[in-house]
Amino acid sequence: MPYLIHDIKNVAPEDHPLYFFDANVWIAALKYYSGGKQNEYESPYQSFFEVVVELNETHDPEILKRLKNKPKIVLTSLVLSEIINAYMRKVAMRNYFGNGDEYRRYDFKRDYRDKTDSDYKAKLKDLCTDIDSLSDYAVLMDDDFKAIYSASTLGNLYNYDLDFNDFYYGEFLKKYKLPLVTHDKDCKFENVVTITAQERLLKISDI
Amino acid sequence: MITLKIVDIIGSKNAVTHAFGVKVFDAISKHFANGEKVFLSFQGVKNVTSGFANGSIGKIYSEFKEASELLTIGGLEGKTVWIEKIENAKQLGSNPQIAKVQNNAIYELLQS
Repeated sequence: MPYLIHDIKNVAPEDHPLYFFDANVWIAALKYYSGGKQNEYESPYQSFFEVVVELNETHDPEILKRLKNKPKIVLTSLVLSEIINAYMRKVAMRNYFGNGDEYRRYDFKRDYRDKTDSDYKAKLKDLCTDIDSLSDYAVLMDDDFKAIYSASTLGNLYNYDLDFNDFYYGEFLKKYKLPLVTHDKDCKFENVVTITAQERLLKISDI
Repeated sequence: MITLKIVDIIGSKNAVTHAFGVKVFDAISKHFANGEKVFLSFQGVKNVTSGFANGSIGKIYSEFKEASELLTIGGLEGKTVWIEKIENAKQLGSNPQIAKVQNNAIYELLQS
């Protein structure tokens, strides 16, 4: 089965009606602070995400006639959980304890989440209200665990170089024929339209 | 003082992208270049994200030292979450080192 991997530069956000952004792309799109400057890695994802949002704000009748889709962003509980966990543990906590690996010396729950004078609650509130603000452009989908579990069976996980969440996303995306936007080199999913700037993924593309 | 309404600049009630924020920055900075003060109104806005606040107000604070004297922000009555996002944006804009630390973390997350 082919790897349907597309260079993000060659995909117009209006090409598909729905997109599934992985957690790290969500975080880059929501929180990367460019100050208006372009950045090699984050910029294509941030731009793609923003154009998806902005296409929904297009009201010009002439443009609407030509527009293929006003795309929406698929949000599931699993990806929402990953966004919150990755951001709070890898970005917010790291910022709180200073740059570099200093934060690794600390315990997330004891030294950050439960510490009353940390910025945990403020950062969580900021992230969640950002996500909530995008509700006009989001489509909430159930993770459909029963169907996906029986279709893929957990017993297959050891055959793949994937963590459980990525494995689950692969099965979910195949089932619903949703395009994935990711920079994760592990997301090698056959028969899933994958949109990326990740060289390792683009190298194995069958397109 | 010039009054600028965000909804007029971005053509939407949803101030939710960094790119929308940069449009607001462009509109404000034209007046700042002429030495004019600006009243930026959030009236009519439905949603605000930190990305928007960073692209607009954060960038203004990053590029104009006199931002706090030239820019007045209104239409935020009862919008405590938006006020917090705006204050965070001012802090990020005024302290490039904080922005750099955050960006490094996001960069490493994306590469992981």
